[in-house]
Amino acid sequence: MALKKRWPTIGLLAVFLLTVAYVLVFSEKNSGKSPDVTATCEGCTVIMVGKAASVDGSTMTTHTCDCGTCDWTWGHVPAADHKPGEMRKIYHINQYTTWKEGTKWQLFQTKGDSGFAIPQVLHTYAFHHGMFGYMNENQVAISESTIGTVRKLINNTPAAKIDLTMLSLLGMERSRTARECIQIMGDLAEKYGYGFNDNGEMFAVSDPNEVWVFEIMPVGPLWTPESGKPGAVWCAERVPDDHVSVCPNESRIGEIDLNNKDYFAASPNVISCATENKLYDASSGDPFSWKRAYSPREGSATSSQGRLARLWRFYNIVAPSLKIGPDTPDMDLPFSVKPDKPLSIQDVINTTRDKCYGTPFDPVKGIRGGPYLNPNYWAGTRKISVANVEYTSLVQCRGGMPNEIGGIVWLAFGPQDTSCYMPLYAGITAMPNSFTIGDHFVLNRGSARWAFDYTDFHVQVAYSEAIEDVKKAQMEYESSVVQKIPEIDKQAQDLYAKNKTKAREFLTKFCLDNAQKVVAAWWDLGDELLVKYNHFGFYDSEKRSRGRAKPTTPIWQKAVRMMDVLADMEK
Amino acid sequence: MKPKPYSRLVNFLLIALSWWCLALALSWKQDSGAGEDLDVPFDNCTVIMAGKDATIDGSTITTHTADCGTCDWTWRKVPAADHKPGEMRKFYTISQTRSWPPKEGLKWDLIKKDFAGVEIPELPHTYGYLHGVFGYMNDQQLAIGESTIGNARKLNNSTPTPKTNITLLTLLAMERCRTAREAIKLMGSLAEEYGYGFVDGGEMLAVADPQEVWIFEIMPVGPLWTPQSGKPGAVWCAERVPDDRVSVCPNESRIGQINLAESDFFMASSNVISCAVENKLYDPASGKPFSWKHAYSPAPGSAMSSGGRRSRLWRFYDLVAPSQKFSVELPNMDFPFSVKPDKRISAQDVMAFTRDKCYGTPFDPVKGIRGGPYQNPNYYQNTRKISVANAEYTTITQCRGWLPDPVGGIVWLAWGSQETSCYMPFYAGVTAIPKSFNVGDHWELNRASARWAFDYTDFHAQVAYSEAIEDVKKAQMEYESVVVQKIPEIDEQAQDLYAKNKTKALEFLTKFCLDNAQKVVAAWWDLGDELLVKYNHFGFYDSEKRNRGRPKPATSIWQKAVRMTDVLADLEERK
Repeated sequence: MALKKRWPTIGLLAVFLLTVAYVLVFSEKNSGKSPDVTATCEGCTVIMVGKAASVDGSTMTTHTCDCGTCDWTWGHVPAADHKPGEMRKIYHINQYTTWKEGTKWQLFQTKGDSGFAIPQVLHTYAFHHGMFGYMNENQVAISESTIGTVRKLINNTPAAKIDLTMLSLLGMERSRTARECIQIMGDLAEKYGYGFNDNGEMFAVSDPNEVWVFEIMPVGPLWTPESGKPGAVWCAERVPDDHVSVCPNESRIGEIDLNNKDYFAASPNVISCATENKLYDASSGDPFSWKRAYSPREGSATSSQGRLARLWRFYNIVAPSLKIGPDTPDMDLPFSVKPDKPLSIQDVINTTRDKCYGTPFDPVKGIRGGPYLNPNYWAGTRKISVANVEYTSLVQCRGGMPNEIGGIVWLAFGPQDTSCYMPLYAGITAMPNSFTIGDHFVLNRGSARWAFDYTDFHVQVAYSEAIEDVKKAQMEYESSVVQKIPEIDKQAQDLYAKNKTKAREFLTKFCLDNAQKVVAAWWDLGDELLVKYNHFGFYDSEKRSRGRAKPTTPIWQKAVRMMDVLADMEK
Repeated sequence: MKPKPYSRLVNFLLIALSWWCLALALSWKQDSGAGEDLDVPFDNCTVIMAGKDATIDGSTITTHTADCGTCDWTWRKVPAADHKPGEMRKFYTISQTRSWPPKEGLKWDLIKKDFAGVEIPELPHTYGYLHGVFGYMNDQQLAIGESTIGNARKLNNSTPTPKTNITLLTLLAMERCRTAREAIKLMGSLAEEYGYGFVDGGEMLAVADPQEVWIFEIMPVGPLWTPQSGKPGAVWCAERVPDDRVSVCPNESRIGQINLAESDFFMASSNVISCAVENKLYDPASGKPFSWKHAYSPAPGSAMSSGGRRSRLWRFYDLVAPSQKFSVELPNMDFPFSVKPDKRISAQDVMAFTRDKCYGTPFDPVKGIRGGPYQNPNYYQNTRKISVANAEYTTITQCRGWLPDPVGGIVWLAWGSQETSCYMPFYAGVTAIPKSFNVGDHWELNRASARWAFDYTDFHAQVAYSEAIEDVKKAQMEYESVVVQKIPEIDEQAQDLYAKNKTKALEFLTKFCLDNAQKVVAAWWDLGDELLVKYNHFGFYDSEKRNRGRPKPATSIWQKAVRMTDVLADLEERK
């Protein structure tokens, strides 16, 4: 064969190529994690939009519930009246624990009973919850991201009575505004101690007017209620109305000005706790910075090789005009930015689906995605949209209408790119039954989540082709519902003026019917993808034919040949 | 991005070299091997054959990998029947590949709309048999496997004049014959009398009984044939596979020189040579001996010269007789008709052959990075493996002379892609096959159709192939190997019953086969579910431990390729 004559030249080329490859393989990696901070790059992403930064004047926050083994079930807790002297039991609810015997929300009351209770309030508000409380009937909304804390502040002792999940439930039950919610959660955490299952955490807390970043840490294992000191340290900063922000598992609050009460709130120990724990030295002359003291995170998108890409990426999507570079250290990025254009609900939905395509952290760059450009093979970089998401909630609070109608939780089960957002108004009185059941370990055709996983799994076979089918379904079942919301709002408002109960029934019926339709459509879509991409056959059910796959990308073909040549030379 | 530590000149050289190198790789010539005047189908069925002295247990074996992808896959059991004098057997035009929407009905009912206009007297008794796309096994242990081989184009006869087609011939053989030789004679004579073609061209059938395995090849005789011409309406030839040998037909004619005087090894139509001469496919004056395949269906080329499109012949011979060191460059037409295997083979060996993906050969479908990060053999379709993704089902027929016919004959049937499927036995004597085998098509997922259970698992195996295939292999151990082991025990029980009460024996076999099939089909639906749970989101979930595992690290060649492609892309950008 002709090739044989050229072995020496090819050998030379191989040496070159391999050398270059190895240089890259062994180049340094920077995880972006400071040594004494507990932190995860794999947790949830919170996107926040102020009311003057959105197209329709709503505030929006998201929670991509990134876990992969958590309980994904949702529930609705009705409003309730309580007698004076009643107590509210406090449960230890771990974010991650699941049980084979049933769902978390059935079992935590026995399995998580801490034996501790606090005085109940006379009236508790209705709310929707998943892993956390998300939206109550007053349009107080919450989204969560784990940010980690300086290790020495961890308090896993039973002295800390309140976990993060419990805190969000109490916030939902008791508050009418974002500010009230923050104060209630902060007070409870200080009084009864925060920690046990959780440490450094962030909540986006919003209502129709304001969006706040609330961050909370435990205060170390030695805390006792008898010490008289606060059992938690927390801080909150408001996102300016015309700004947007993001929390990608990194503390976002820097320097604080507690005199500016419309923008900052904190526990009384916010600085003293740092000083006592040698996390801040007032004599240094440096101003106090919350994130640098309690949850410092060195590194940038580039230096972390994309593990810390989300902060840069989000700002770059919403405000490209700022030309923020991927090598800017995350801690130097501003608390919030003014977007180049106000964001619509669809913009936020799309942003939760972001895979960093076309950036230096593109998961299908080169041949990472294989022959069908699958973005899920390459887990080396961190995208906003990842495969291990339980669900994504997008809470929308809208002033100028009754709270029951103004508040909407948009919920998409499983990976955002293959899923469908379904609206759940704040005023609905029930959850679809299929949202309340299921787990990761048994395929359950009665569980809504599995409909989306079924489609998602089938997309993975020939991703680049199948994702186009999914996008069509999203147009039909998601975009059209987004368009329909103003009409539903209007009908609900008309009804509300006459009969509040009727309005809530109307909203409940709309949301449940829609959810049922979407879930059924996704089971069908999964079936259709199986038929179409079966045996890579590209079957056409209408023409009753077998089609042809698009030819693989040139880079894939090139890489295949290249590796063959290399293998021959190695022989 | 960091500055790279090499100079512009080195860059330039590197780029130039790499492009030259790629161009070279791309220029590897691929030779389809088809003569200009021949339609050679490379993507159809593979027939493996084994003589009774080439198998461990003394059975004869044939296979049919029904490689299509759009065909009707449904199966039926046709019962034996007695007919009154005067009853007629109608001929139907049956296309191998046609399928109908399920709402219109089932193929084997609907073909009756396509009466070919010919009928012949029924026999007083017709045998019961199992059939899918073709007839496979009757209650006399007559067995058939099929492969399309193509023919010199001028012999095509797509006119409606010929009234028989390959499917119909197999059905008539099943109904009327007890031995391979009888079947060949019947099919040959009907084809000659009523003409062969219309929906079919050059075809090969393996025809077996407990004693013998024959290769039967048949061609039409051109569009101008009429019954009134007095000439045969088909040309055919048959050669017996010696008892101690195995052979294969991978869509290529296998019969070379023939010696009709040796009637235990050769049979042919009367026009076998004259038809070639008349059509200028053979010149006796050339001095060369007549060769059936060179005349009627020549396919020059080798596994290597065809870039692996025609690797099956070499691959099978190399698998069964590695000692003979067949070369990948040996032209396929120079391969012997059959070969003595290094070791006698078993039904389970044959199952493994039908699953063969050419791993470790020059035509390995996951060589380099062809298989992607999870070594999926179905991405790369440029080479042809015995096991391909478009198989409707695979049959392995076993005829065993030491047992009564209803017990001796077995059709092993696996739906869909062999490597993710499960062979299920059906004795020749079964009086029914599962309902789930009667229904379903490619275009509508049907949970009542057995085939879809296997497609469900197969599809779910494609996501993380290299990992999921291990789960499938475990299930095959449990539901296939175990049943293979159990066959001698079932044989014995059936034989005992048969001696006392034939009907009871048939009932026993039917119950065993149907129960087993039901169990396997249910297991494959479950397996599909389990693969979905386990490989969901590439999460490697463990349902017992209730945790999320970690995938095995990507192969080093994959990692290397990813990095190298990045480097090349960087270089191109700089250029």
